[in-house]
Amino acid sequence: MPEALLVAVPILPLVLAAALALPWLRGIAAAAVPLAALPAVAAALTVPVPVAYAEPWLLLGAHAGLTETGRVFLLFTGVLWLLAGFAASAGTPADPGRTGFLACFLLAMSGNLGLLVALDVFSFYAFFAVMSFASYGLVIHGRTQANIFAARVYIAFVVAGELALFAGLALAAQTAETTLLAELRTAELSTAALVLLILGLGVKLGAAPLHLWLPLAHTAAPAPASAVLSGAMIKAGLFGMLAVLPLGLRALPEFGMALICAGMLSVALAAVIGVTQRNPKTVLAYSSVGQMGVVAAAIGAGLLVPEAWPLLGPALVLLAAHHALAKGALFLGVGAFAAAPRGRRRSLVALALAVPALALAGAPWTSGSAAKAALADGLALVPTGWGTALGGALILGSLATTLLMLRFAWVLPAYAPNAAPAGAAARRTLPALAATALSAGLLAVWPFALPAVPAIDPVKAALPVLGGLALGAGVAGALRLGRIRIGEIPAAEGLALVSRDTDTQATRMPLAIRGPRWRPQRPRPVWPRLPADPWPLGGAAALALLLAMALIETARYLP
Amino acid sequence: MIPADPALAQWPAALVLGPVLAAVAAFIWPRAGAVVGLGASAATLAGALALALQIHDSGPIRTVPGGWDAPLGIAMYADGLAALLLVMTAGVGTAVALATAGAGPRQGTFFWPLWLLLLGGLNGLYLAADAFNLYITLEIVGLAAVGLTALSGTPESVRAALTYLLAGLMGSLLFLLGVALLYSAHGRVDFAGLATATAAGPAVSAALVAMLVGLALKTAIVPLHVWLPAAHANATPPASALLSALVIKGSLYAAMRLWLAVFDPAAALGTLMGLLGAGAIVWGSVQALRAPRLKLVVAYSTLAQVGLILLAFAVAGDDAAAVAWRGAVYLMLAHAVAKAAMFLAVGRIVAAVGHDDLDRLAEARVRPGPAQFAFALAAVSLIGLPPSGGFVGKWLLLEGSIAAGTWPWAAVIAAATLLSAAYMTRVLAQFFRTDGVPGGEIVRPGWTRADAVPLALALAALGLGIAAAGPLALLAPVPASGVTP
Amino acid sequence: MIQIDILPLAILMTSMGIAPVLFAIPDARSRLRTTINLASASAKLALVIWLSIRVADGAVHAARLPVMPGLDLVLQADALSVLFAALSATLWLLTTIYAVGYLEKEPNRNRFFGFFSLCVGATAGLAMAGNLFTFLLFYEVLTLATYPLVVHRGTAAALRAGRLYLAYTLGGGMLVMLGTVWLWVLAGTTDFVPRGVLGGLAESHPGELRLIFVLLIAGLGVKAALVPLHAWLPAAMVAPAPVSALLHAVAVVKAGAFGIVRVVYDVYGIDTAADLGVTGPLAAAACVTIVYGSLCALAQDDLKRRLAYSTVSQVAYITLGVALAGPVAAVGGLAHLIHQGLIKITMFLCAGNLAEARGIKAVSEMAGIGRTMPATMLAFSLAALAMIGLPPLAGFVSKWHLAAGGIATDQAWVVAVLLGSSLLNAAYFLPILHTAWFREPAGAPAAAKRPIGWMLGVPPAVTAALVLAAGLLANAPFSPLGWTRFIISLEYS
Repeated sequence: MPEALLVAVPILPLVLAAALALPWLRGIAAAAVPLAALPAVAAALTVPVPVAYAEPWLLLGAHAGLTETGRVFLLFTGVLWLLAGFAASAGTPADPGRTGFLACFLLAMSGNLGLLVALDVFSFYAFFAVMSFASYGLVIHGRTQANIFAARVYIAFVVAGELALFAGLALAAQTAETTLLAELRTAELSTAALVLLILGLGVKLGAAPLHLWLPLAHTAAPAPASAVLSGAMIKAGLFGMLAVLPLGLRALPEFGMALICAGMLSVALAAVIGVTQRNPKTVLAYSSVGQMGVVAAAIGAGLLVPEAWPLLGPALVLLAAHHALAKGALFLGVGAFAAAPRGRRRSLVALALAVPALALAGAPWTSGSAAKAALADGLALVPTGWGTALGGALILGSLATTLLMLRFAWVLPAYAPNAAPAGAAARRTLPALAATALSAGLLAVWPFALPAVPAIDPVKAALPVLGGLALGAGVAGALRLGRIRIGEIPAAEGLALVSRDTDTQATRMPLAIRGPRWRPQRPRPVWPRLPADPWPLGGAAALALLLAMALIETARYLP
Repeated sequence: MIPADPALAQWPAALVLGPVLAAVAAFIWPRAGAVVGLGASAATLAGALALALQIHDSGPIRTVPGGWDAPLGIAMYADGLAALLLVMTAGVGTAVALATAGAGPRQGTFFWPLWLLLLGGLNGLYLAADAFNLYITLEIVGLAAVGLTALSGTPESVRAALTYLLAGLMGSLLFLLGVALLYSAHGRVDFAGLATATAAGPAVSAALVAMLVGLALKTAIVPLHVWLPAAHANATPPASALLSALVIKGSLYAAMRLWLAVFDPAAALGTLMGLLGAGAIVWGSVQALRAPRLKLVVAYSTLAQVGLILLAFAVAGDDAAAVAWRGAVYLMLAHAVAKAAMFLAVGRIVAAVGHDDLDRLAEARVRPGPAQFAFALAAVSLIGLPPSGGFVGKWLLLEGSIAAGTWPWAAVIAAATLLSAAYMTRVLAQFFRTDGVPGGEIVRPGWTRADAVPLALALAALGLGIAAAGPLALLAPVPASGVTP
Repeated sequence: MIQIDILPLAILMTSMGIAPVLFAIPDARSRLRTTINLASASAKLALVIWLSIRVADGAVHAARLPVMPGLDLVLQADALSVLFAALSATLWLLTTIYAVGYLEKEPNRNRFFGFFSLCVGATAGLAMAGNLFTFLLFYEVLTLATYPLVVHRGTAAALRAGRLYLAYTLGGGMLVMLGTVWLWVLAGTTDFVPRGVLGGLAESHPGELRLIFVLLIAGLGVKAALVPLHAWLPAAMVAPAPVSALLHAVAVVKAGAFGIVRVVYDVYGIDTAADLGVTGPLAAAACVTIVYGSLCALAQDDLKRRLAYSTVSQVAYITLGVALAGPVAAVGGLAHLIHQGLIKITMFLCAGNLAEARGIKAVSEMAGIGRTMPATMLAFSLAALAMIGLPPLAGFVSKWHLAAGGIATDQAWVVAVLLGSSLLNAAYFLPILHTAWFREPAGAPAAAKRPIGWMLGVPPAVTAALVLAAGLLANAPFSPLGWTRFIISLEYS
């Protein structure tokens, strides 16, 4: 039974996606989209861990199962997909691209859930690829110039990431002589393998400098898709790192420092660029970048100081779950807000969104504060120098998040998507509210062992938030007084500066080398008309031949 | 060795006299020409096959029909090489005769006597055991060939025939000079005696040179080929088939015999022959590539093919040479069959299309599929692609030259293959081209009985590649155990 | 002496034997022709399956006919021949069904199908050739039988392509012949024997053996489309879609690659080849081809031409796998022989359907075609993703083994080449998918020329399913990968 349930986790969405292809099943399949993630939730709650099954005939030898970490990821990912699915199925059948969108949505769901129950290199990579490539359809859905540009940037990063991951896994599997992720984690991997693995997974994680695709994609995609992109899928990168990196086993100082620096850079970038954004979804996207920066920094600390991992690991998992639900709630909320008719309903949604926003900022008594506290607990073990830096980064992080949330609240009312999702506002609002509720009560409903969190001093916890509020207010006031206008820094900084015109033939590639076109018909060569073998020539030739042969033969008699 | 059974001893003589008598009969009763011709050809084929089988079982045969033995008498000598060529001649001849008989009486009353005379002459040539007989039979063959050339009666063909006659006579004279020199040197002209006779002096060398050049004229070895294209391109299809398939081989065989059995030529002479061959390949191919007419292409390809065979003369070293010679003979065989098929097919095509202008072939509305198919198959063998007799011959030639370490010749063989492929493709492309037809539907006439012979010959050319073991077994002793008794 | 074995002869005859019959059937009697075609194709497939079972049991099948003193025409079945024979037999059946649907109403169907079955017969001969001499024989027959198919349309362009094709392939054939004769003179045998027949010659005549290797590989490389001998392949895309399938998947390029495998493994022996130092240059040539082919493919707007260049690049994977001189890489290369065939035939059949149904020939005309022809584009997309090397599709299995093999033999640079090539594959395949699925059709959608009947629809669907199965069930016993492992275990035992 557990095995069947685990298999159903990725298969059910696949089956529904396939059913969408058949016209007579399309209606049913579309209606069933919200239920596609049910097996995941069920499995996470019921299947005892750890559990592993081998399907040797599948792929190059597949292994399915569930680890302690995987179970947590499976639960919050599944829940988020469930809610997003509910919202995604709200679109009207009249929408031409709807079937395609739902198909991509289901495929991405299957990949995202499947990689969480994969125990071996091949199925993990397979599901990872399915998720990444299917999401292309989510990002490009709107078909506007922005969508197409975002999708192109996204796919470029995806391809690069997939290749890095492929090479990394190949190298790792060869050196470790195993295809099981768990055994890769314990094996001595070559530097090249580790670099490639971290790059491949880091693209998905979206920490700077590999984040450039993220703000574009999360802004361009429809609200439900953004919710899973930002809430669930980027966690796949984190899950992959937890699965393959020797966290808590060996110290990899160089990698640790590199990741810490990347994390801090992400936090800073997210704050500086995010606050200038005018599109609430972009603001949320940048806050994701910041949060993933914190995650990256924490992993770096784990690589730097293995001893700290026992504390950092659970804290990271909790942080992931918290961020997934809060960010999911916010993105779904933006969708609901845009869909809701002006009036009380709308302000209700806006008000509700304050809860996850505060949770993200790490306000006291929220899941956010708990996660941050647990994290700080672990970081404390990092020797001074890096340790203080990390502590500062953490505080800066919540400060930045607070600012971003302020900005979000500021720009939300003015938000009007160019293509306002039509109708079925309720189906968009309910999942948003549900996610909000879950994120609010996360600590209460948390079915697993919570990391040992020291007693949190609410005041201490509230400081960054209040500081952020003060800073935000101050800056805003100063700007108002000084009549200074801050221009929007285009999302995806550098990339956005390169031509945004996407009115390009799909065939025109950045790199194009003329294949040897094979030459057009040349006029047939005109031979010089030689005389057709005149007779005297023959006689002369005969004599010449006679002479030649005679010479050769007589040559034999010369002494 | 003299076979015990005297009746068997007369076989070779019958192979020579039979066709000649038949020729006389066909000349006297032109009405019965076709019947007599077919009968005689078939009978000769049967006899040749029987002889070949017997030689295959019990080695070469030497007979003295008149009872007068060497040095002056007429002796006949039949070994594997001779037997193979006898079968080839009778076989191809019978096929051509069938095609001619099928085509009706418009070939003219003289075709049958001439063909039978040619058959008798060639058989005598292959069986000749001494230089003088060789000369006589060469004369007979030459005259019959001239007659065949002029058969169609068009001014061009008559002019070509006269040129051919002139060249042939010149060649014969040179050859006769050689025979005389040999006799003056050794007092005998039979191969066996000459081979054993010592004292290779200037006279013998002069004889060799004279004979080779004479034969080169008759074989149309570039640059002595000037008579050939006109002659072969203007004769009637069956005549052309016989001329390029068989007549050329007669003189080539004579040269080969003398080279192997009688003289021991200087190595440089062999190299010269090889160079002549290379020249022939290049010149013939280039001309075939630019020839404006279909029949001319086929005629010029003969030059190139003969050049290829000549390369065997250049391969030194006993074992290597043995392989190369086998290859040369097999090339002669394959060329005979394939070229006959090709000329007959061309005849069919020209009859259907109405002209043999190569560049206008793609515009023809009539596409005689079977004939074109036969042409293509024959081309495969002539290019020397597997599975065909041409391939086997080329393989052996290549093997010989590589074994002897003479790389230039191997390269020449490769070049010959590609060149022949080039000019054959030039024709085939015209067959496949369909967008040149000015409007109108393309007519694809189906099979007729007349297509059977060229197709059968072309298939035989392919079969020679698969069933090469038998013929090669006949050639096994060439030349190691010598062609002399 | 003559040695008769029904099974190999029957497999050869099921396609070669019916050619004359097909030639003789007039165009009007298409029902009769189709019956004979499908019957013999199915029979051949059944026989090949039987043969594979027999070979797996270790049975020896050999038929020989002496042609020249010491040189026999040998048809014998070993694991490697079964691999190739099974591929061509399977794809022949599908391609025949497709061709019947594709060419109905066209003239010269008897000529087409006659030469078509000759081609496949030659391929079966190549697969079962027991020595280099026999291989050369069928190699040239394949060249000849393919020419009429390439020029089938009879247009000026088709004839130019045909001339180019003959110029390249006959030249290549001549090189192979030279090499074979030289080897025969030197070694006195041309038999295919696992781990080579050269014996002590490697020590005594290294220089000559290297030259012979170059001759053979250059000759075979023409059909395998190794750069710079590839120009004929993109040109030949003027031929009808079934012929493209034949060239790219069933027979021709595969014949070249298969020949290279034979020469390296069963004539020289992988160890001898490595000792002679010829595998390194071969690997280099393969890598150059992989990258160059992909770069050229980027520039093509014509769909079939882009696919052709991608073949140039992909077939070199097989050569690379062989040249890496390691069991794992060899498994990858040989498996790619099958996988690339399945993938590429899917793509060409889909391209043919696009051209037939909508007259679409260029990538730029494909905007929104995913809406109008979803099934076809689904199969195409599956194949494209497989070609990029995404799991769980066939291409991933090959690439994984190639990479792993490279690492295992301390040649990790191979991984870099594979990454570059996959990147380029993505760069020229993903835009096609984007155009087909996510771009709005420019102006009015191309009018439907003709409906896609089951004869045109089923074959690509089946091959696409096989592409998926070959990857998803890679570890299953009779999967291409499983069989390849079996072969390599024999070679490296």
